[in-house]
Amino acid sequence: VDLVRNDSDESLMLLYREGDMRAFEVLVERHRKPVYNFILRFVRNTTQAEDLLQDTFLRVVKSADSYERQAKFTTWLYTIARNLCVDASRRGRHRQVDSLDALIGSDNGRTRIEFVPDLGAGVERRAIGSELRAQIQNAIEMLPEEQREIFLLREVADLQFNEIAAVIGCPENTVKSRMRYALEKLREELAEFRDLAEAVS
Amino acid sequence: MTFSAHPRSDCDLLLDDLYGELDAAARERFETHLTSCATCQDELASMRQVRSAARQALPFEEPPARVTGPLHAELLYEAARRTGRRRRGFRFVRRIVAHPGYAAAAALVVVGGALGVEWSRSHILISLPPYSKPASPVETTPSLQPSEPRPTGYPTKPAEEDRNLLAKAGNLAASDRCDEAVALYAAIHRRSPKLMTPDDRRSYDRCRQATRGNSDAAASAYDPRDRGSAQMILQRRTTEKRKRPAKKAKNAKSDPDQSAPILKGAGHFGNADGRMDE
Repeated sequence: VDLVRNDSDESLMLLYREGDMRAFEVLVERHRKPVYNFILRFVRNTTQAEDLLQDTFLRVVKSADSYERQAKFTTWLYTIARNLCVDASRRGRHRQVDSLDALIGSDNGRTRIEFVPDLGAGVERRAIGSELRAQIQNAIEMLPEEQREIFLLREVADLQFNEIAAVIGCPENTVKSRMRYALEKLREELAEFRDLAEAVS
Repeated sequence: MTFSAHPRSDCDLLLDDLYGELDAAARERFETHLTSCATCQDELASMRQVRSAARQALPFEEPPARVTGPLHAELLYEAARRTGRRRRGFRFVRRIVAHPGYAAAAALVVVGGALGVEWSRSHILISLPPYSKPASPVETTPSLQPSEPRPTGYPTKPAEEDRNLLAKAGNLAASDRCDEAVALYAAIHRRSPKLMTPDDRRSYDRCRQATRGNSDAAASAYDPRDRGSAQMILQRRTTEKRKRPAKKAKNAKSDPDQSAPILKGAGHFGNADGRMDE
């Protein structure tokens, strides 16, 4: 078991193809959480993320025969997950517009403060921290999809730029420039928030 | 000053450095450059802040109980079934030929054929037996193998078995064992989607909704220690085969293996003590 546990993703995948179920279980345990978080941040809906995660691994099972030894497993896995997310977001585009409106209208950030425990003098700072978090979260959600998916593949899935290029199917330079746009957008958001915080205090 | 407006050259390495993607040589080059480029120093510092804020804004969340419970069970079941089928393909013929029932069946076919020739000799008129004839001698093999009891209750067609399983899933749904029902419905649906009536689908959807709203309960029904691995399904499947070898030749065409894991799967999803087994 320990031997399997220390194996690389690639050899686990080949072992599973030979019928080793233990190898498959280790693969799932290893990647379930990061893939789930990637999907969750992409589709922004827990139930849908659960279903898409399941579909991702089911597709791994179904396409196991077409997996090539030289391909990096995570690149392959996230290509599947990302394609499912893109399809899902295309299907739900009209609904997404509604939910974004709702999100802006409901002022998500402010309601979160209520859940911060009362810690006396620390409250003010903590509240600002959680509001900032919500603001950044919002800013990430508002990124154009082509930037957001790259940002999530880098920050959540922890793929390298050349791997992201393989997942998306575009040149590495394109990946990097989209990543820069995303980071700059978030920096603006951060700066705006700091100005606001300073003005308030 | 923004990334994109920045002059090319060593400053271009900033993004790679931010994400630790530079090799040793490039890193050294960039660090040397940093000491003389204030713009890059500021840029790197502010981007590190952005990254840290972003990571705080996107904390890693644990997959919900539905994922680690019922869905995981369904996934392992499906994975075990798939590898089983892949490997079966090659050994299928060999296993039939190796089966003792095959020899008996072959003997009967030979004897039957000889008798047929005898008969046709005496009757001049030669009529070919119906296409299904070679299968019928196998039906009579129990008389040749008195030590091996004929399996009872084993359906002859997968569709028939799935119908039974559908009924079982319906019963589970009716008795509010929704997560088990969902797993069973899903398994049946994957194999014979056409078999499911609108009523079955409604029941399935209702159960899915129920398990969704109640994922903690679903998870407790799938305690990881109890849940067992798919390895277990495979093991049970092989013991199953050993226990009831006679069905192999009989059901050669409909491939009983494909239906066996469903039965085992039902037991697996149901409970470790096999509540759902017959």
